[in-house]
Amino acid sequence: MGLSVGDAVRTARTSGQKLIRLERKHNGPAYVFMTPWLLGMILLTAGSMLFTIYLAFTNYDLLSQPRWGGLQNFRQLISDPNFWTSIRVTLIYVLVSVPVRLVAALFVATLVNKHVRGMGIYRALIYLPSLVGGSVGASIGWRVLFDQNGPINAVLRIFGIQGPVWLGNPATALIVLVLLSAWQFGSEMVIFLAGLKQIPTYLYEAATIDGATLWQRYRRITLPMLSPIIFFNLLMGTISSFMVFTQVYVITDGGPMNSTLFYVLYLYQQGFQYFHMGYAAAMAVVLLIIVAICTGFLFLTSKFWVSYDV
Amino acid sequence: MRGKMKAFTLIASVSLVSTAALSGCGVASAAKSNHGSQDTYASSKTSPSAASVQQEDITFAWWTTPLRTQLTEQAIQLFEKKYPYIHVTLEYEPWSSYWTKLATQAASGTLPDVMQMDASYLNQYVSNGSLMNLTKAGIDTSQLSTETVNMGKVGGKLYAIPVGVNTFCEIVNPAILKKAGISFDPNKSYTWDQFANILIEVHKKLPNVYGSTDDIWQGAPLAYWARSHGQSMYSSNGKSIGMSEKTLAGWFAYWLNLQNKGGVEPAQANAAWDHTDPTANPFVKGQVAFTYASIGQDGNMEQLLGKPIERAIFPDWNQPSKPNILHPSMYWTIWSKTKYPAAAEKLVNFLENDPQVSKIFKNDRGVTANQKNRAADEKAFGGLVKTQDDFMDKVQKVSSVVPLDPPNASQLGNLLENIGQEVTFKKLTPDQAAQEFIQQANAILQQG
Repeated sequence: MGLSVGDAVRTARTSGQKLIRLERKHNGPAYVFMTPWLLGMILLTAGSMLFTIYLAFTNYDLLSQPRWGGLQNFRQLISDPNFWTSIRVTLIYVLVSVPVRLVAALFVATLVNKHVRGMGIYRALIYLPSLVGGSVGASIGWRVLFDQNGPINAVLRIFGIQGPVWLGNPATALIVLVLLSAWQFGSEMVIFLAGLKQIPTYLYEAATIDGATLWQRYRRITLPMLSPIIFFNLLMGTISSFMVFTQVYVITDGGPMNSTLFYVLYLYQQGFQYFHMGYAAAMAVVLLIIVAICTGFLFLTSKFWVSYDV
Repeated sequence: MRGKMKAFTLIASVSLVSTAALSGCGVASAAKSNHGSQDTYASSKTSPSAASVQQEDITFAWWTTPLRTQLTEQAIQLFEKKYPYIHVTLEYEPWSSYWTKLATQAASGTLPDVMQMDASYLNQYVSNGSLMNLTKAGIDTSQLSTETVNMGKVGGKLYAIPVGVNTFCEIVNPAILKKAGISFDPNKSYTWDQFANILIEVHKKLPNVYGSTDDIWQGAPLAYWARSHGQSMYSSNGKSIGMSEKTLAGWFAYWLNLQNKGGVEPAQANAAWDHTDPTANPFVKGQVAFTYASIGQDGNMEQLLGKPIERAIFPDWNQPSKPNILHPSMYWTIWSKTKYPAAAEKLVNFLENDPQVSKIFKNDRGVTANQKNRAADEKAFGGLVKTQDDFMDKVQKVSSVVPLDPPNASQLGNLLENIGQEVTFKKLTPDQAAQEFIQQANAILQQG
């Protein structure tokens, strides 16, 4: 390799700056091409967001006009035991499912990062579950799998284990949902795989010559080189875990005994089952703040473990 | 390196913003999706001569089951044949998404012209002015009993036409009882204790079977329990629970005792099945001898079980106060701002009174309110229709009509489910549960 990585970056940057200068001269067409996206962003996203924030301060039942209520919704939230239950359930889920999913994704990505005949097919097959994982169909299938007399317990019975009533037991219902999420690691896996391919092989070659073991190479080269990717997946996984809904709605609907009353499920119940749209909007605003705090916290910690040195 | 970091921060913050937008706007965007089960009867049916007449387009919405969708489509075909200048757009959804969609449509001022309505929502839709006053509309109610017509009145004005009458009852799998050697007379008024003993006896004789599903968190049997103890579910102004803490504690204790003795399924088994899905009910799998159902559902349960069932009024019904509750099964209502009130009225009149429609629907929408049609159907079909009609005839003599549920009552379902489950999982004693339920329920009802 005659060209160092640093050179490549520098070349890319100068050409990039030229491009930016060019673009500034001809901004008009760019905005025209961006119009559909901008319209969508303004009307569907930003507009609805602002409206949600407004609704959070009102009493709105969908059927009659919203009435201004000031901080009433937020005061009510603080004294609502179900709100705190939903926060607790969701935090447990985030804390357990995100690491489980990341470890699974990284492990499988490492496994399929090999040159074996038909590897593309394996990768596609492994990716498949995450395409269907969040869907209603997969959730219904999951429900059937973990039925008291379903296939999972039938397999356990072969080994002489009397499986629990998975979905009827407050202690195990959440586990079923975590398992469903762990199984959909496909998109993280693909991102990890791309990251693994980016790591220059000469680093490994040099380390091998110096006598580094497989584990040392993984620990000292792969993980640090991959840390920005791990950070990205951690961030996206955390955010999406806060918003899990479909699986919960289909599989447990919050039960038993509110043991799976996830935040967004409770928000849905308030908004669309009880028609407390103002209250639900307040919950959405609080969720926005919680997610912002968590991501901010992750960004702060990233200084200590994410390395951007190439 | 800096540049890369910057780019990365940009990506991360863009995705953060868009996710934040998602979390914030779940409310707004979900409101827009009305899961597309729409069907249109093409205008190709319009006959050439009708072209001169003004075409009237109305929308008809109802909550559905696969069978009901078929039956309703047949009825609408007949209607469009009779009134070729009226074109009906059909909108149907399962129960829970139906109400979500209707609320969204009400918010945007685009309700369907004719709506199937439920008693638990009628108050709400009348009070916000969404429904047309039908007192002077041209809808024929001459074949409905006065008592039935009154079910559709709010504040003395007729807003809703009752389609059928209904009640909740116990359904019984006689094969299990026969196998257990237990005699049960569905026409007898057992006391609550006698009924409990029968349930426990079933499990004693047949260890793999339980007496009944655990109905501890089912609102309909609880409302009956209150009345059979001389009280009511709601106070007369609808702002609080009407029964005493002692009565409610008695309810929780009744089912807990049954659970401890095998009269009903264990806590985990009961919490595991989806109570809104009849195919998941242990009754249709022959795992319990009793469960509760409404008349109309009973036929479906019988079909799923694949064996004949019997129907019995809830325990202790033979009292002078007539504790059993008579419900309107559903109503037809018309949107107050419909563009074509005449066409909407014609449709309601047709669905309510046409003898052919009644023969198509049979008792799918509850035991037919139109007495002439009810008698004709009974004669024409016999079988299940006759069984249901006979049962309702018997029940109506010993039942009362109770006031409509207060507006916030639909929220109490989840509360009762949670507190009931805390009793079954022994986290709360019946006394604690009663206290907690009444406290939280009253807070909810006061907001209504």
